[in-house]
Amino acid sequence: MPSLPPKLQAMVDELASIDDLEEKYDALIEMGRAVPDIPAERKTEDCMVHGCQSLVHVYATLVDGRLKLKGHADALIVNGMLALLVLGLDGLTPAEFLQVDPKFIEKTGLIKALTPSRVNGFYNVYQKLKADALAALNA
Amino acid sequence: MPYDLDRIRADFPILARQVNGRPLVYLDNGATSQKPHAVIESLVRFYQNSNANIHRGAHGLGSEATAAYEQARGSVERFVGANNGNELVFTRGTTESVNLLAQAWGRANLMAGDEVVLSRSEHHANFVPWYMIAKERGAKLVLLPLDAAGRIDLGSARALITERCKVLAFTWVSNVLGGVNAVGELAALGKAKGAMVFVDAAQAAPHFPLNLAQCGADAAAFSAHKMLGPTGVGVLWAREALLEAMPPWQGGGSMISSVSPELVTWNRLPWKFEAGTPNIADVVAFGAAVKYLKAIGWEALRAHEEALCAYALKKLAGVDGLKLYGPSGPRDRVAVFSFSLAGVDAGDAGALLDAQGIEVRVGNHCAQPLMEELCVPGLIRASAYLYNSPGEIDALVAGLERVVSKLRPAASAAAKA
Repeated sequence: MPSLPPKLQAMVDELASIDDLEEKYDALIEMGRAVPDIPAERKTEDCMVHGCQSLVHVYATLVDGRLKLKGHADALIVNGMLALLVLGLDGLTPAEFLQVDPKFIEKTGLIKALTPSRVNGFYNVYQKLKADALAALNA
Repeated sequence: MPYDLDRIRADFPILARQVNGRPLVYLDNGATSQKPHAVIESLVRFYQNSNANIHRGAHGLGSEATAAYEQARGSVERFVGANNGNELVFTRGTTESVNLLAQAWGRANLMAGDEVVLSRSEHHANFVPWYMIAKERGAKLVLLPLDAAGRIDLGSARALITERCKVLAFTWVSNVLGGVNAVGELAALGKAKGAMVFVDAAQAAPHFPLNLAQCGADAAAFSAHKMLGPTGVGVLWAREALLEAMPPWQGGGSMISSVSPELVTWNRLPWKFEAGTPNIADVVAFGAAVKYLKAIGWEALRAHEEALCAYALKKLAGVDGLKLYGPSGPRDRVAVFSFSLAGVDAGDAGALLDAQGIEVRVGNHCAQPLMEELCVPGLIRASAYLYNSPGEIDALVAGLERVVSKLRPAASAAAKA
């Protein structure tokens, strides 16, 4: 796997360094709290991530050739996982974004604790951002 | 004899383990129960000493295995108060039992315009099979509403169960709300209109005696794994006349009497409905589970669960922002508690409880029509069984308070201020 963008690498390293699951969730939830909420008018069907049990909205826009990633999830753990993507990958070019393998989530140690639906939810958030990045690249 | 909880807990090896570095507090018994040594050893003993296929062959080992399998049927039959073993069909679980009945009975009896009456609180296992056969036969689904405590509302049932009702299928105990439905009254309403009455007893069989022959219904189903037995075994109980009149469901070995290209004839009950090699070892171990439950005794088990239930209801009421769904009192309910926490996502709560070693279920509990009725996306469910202790209820309450303090927006804002 190619190395991760520095911001994301730091977040993954922080989570990986915590053995205790409760402390790991605490750190993840804190990461999520750092994500600015998105305006109500952007919480629309086309920004919604399907296949999540909680309400999740996410979108990417292209500003000066770089991706601006925004998103919000009602559930705090999902919001924390979303933070890894929208904070960790914010500011990349679409091409750089597409280089990132979402399997980095396995290095956080969260996978074995989370329910399959939550893990799928994470990949669905990634797929939605990837679709936006591809659309931006081809625009 | 006093209920020796420590001794009972020592019979369940898994209860001694840790989860996420904390002692396991297992409160997901509505999903599946843990297994005592006696059941685990029964499985091992069968494979080590008695394993052979049953109802065939000419060897002693086969006879021994057949006897063990049929003895288990007899034990279960007596345990649930059936009239005789012919009324007891072993299946893969409650879900398969309902599918068997819905398809075999439904195809032979349901017509366009008939009504299939269910309740709002059905588990998907007692909803989807009826939905499927109703679609196939052009019958209509009717859902009985619930009363304020979450039990099937008898007044509405009287109005909605009419001569058009051909099947009345409802749960004995809601897997979400824990309330015990009035089986006798409801069954009588269905029988008075000529309906076939089926009861999903999956959440009832582990907690109190069913006395099926006297329950008023024509058929019922339950699963071994929720009552200390192995996964992969369930029971369809039905009155002999109903099973006799019903065509077989799956075809194959064992369920036939004779086979020729021109004519296949069916085996006697209950084997007519047990095509192929059944789950022999797990059925035998189910017999061991029933023996274990019998040794504890219903009276002692009920007394323990009722005390635990009253204790849990009192303690849970003290958790800030906790809203309990289902009966608020300990009467006519089992120790299943579903609730929401104001401002807290159920999935987050489940994950943070799990991190503390407390295992509960979160989500829609395979009861989406009920979640729709309650207007909630999902609930947290803690479900206790005969080995759970008041100390574990305390651990749950402390765990929930910890979750609230971590997750609630106001709490977090105050912490930051």
